[in-house]
Amino acid sequence: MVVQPMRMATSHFFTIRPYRERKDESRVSVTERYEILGYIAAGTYGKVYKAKGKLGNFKDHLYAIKKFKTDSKDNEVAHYTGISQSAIREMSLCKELNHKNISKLSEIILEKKCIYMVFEFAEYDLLQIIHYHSHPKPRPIPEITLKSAVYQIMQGLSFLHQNWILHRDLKPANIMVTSDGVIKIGDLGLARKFNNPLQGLYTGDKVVVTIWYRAPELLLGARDYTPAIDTWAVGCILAELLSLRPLFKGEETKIDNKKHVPFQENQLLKILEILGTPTLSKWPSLNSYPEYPQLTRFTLFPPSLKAWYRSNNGSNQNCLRLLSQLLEYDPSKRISALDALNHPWFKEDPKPAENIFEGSKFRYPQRKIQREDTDILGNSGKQAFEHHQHMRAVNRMKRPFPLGISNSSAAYNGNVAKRIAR
Amino acid sequence: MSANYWASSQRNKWQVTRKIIHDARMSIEAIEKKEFGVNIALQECKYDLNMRIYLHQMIIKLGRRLNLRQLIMSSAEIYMTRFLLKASIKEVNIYLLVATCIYVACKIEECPQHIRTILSEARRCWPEFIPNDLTKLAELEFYLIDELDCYLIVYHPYNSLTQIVNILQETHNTSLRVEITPDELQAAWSIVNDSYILDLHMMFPPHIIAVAALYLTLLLGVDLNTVEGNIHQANSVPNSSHSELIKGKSDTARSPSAFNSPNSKMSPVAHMTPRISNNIKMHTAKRDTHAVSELGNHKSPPGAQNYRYPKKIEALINFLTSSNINLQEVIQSVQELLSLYQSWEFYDEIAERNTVHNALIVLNKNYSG
Repeated sequence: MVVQPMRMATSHFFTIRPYRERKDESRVSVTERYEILGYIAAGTYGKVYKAKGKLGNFKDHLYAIKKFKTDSKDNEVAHYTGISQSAIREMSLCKELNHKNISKLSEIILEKKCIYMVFEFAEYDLLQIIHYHSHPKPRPIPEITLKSAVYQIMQGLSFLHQNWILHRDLKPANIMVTSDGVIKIGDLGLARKFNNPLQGLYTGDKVVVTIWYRAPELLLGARDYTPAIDTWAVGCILAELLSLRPLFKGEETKIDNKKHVPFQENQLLKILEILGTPTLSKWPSLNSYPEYPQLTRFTLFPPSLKAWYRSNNGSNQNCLRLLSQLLEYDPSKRISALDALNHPWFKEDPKPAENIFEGSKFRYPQRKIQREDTDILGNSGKQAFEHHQHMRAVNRMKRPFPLGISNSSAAYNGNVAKRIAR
Repeated sequence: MSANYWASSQRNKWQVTRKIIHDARMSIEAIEKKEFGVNIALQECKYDLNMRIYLHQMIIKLGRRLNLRQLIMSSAEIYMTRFLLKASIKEVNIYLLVATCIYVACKIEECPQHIRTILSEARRCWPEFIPNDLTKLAELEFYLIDELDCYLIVYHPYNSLTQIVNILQETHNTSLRVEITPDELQAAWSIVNDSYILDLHMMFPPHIIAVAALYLTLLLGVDLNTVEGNIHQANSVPNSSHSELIKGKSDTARSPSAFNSPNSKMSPVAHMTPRISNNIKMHTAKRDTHAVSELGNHKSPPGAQNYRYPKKIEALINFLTSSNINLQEVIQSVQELLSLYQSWEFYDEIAERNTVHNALIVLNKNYSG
């Protein structure tokens, strides 16, 4: 018996109803499992909430729940549009990763068209700590805190690199610290595997790393970059922990034409001013980068990292040595995360501690949360959105936009790209 | 983790025993009984080996249309097999499932394709059965990922296969050294591709399947060359068996229409010379007593007198016994692959397609939207 089907399926043709009904029967909602204490922050990806577990092993533990933004055009009815490349990367990588210095994923909940990634809560992040030390007047971060923080970042990073994962968005805001003083590298939304890629790194994402932390080879248009882009960013973070200010605080040139990635002249200038103009003798592959000709635009600068270090009251020579090895122009000569762990600076006293706050007199304020906004399911979407816009302005003054907003959200999500192209 | 299968979720969360697979399928049958009762069109639609060959072909069909690399199709097939360990093929539109698995695999392997592209190509493949609504594909993506518990990074035997071949060629110990020809490597590669039809990837580490594919390649190749060598003497082209096997497969690769032609069974067996086919039958028939069990017995390789290239198998067996590779698992894989090829001879694509289509029409009457 062969029944003749219709020629073309209508949009109502059978898909998954029996399965969906069976699965939805047994679901336990995120709000039944967690008490939402308040809203922490928002980004291009969505929003993060602080929450407390209600059930079983989760009971009374603190969590940060990252809710991915649903990419629907209208605010009223969310509908399925396909999970973004960024979300799917972060979900799949976090499910595999297990290291004490990587943000620990507790579970992922998929519910009513939304994705909730539940992480163990971290009370602080480096941006918050830097801010505390620089306001109202600068008070240096204790050496032990600073050294232990960089050491633990390197432990987490070398784990990522040994597992062939590039983070591609290291910056103080993405480095969490627990109340026990343990570093947790977070936000793997831009991270990706780089072993045997079927498609080049550049093809997937034209722009990576927040501008101030972006390595010179990326600014020069490198197509095939290496884990060295992450260690450069750690160099920038180390300098920022020392001076309490971003080391290379360039102005980002915005993308006007979506097809063309602009040359970030001002950012490169900031680097040249401190590190000096790179030369072919020190960086032999320099002239192979697409933006190499742009270098002639700049006047010649002498290297002045030492002077910068002294003027920021730096005195430890090994610390300066590590800093200059992390900020090495030639990515093939830049120190790797694994080698950095054996650096003399980490071997001399005070040695890196398990708790980066060990012996410190500073007591940092807890992460601010907005207790009014506990609506994680987003039933009052518009109100929450306005609130978030306000909080953005308050919290993130003068910080560069997260990557997604400024220029590369198109690369994450085909939907957005298509819409912009139209 | 990412670079390490042994620390991966594939090993620690998704590696299951035969018993677990069996029990899971029993509970799916119970769900089917409860949900669908007795409906003849639905009862005929069973998740058996024939159905799995059919689903495998559909993944390849859509994958080729999208010009995807084999690795992506293989990941997609792992997702599908895992999903169908927890859901019935009658609970979902399986053509939409094929498209969704490919959509997710493209993203995980960092070759994202726009959801519209996937949907429109799927509609070109199965116009009567794929609804023109991309939210439906996106919805299934959501449920698929949830059912897989967000474990999406998977490991394949392809890297292990190249590594093992390199080790065999480069070893200093001459009794272990094996020269694997490009044709042989290609044949083993094709066997790995076919292995996704089975449950092997849920039970064994990738390197086991790589070894099994290589062993099977040499086993079949040796016999064929022996026969041909005897007949054609010096005229015989070395490894002609494999070139024919490859020719058969790559022909279908070049003309996608072959996949749609009603006569095409697309089985490697169908494209092989009858002689290879006979060899497979022979091995399947006496697999417990001959070359396969040779592996398990750890004794000297098959009597050299009848074989033209006995050294290859001998060396491979020496290599395997001197390694830590689990030979029981290799044997099980080889046996399952042999019976797959044997069953493939009786595979009837039209019959499978009719079964699927009849089921979808019935399901559409009762569960549309």
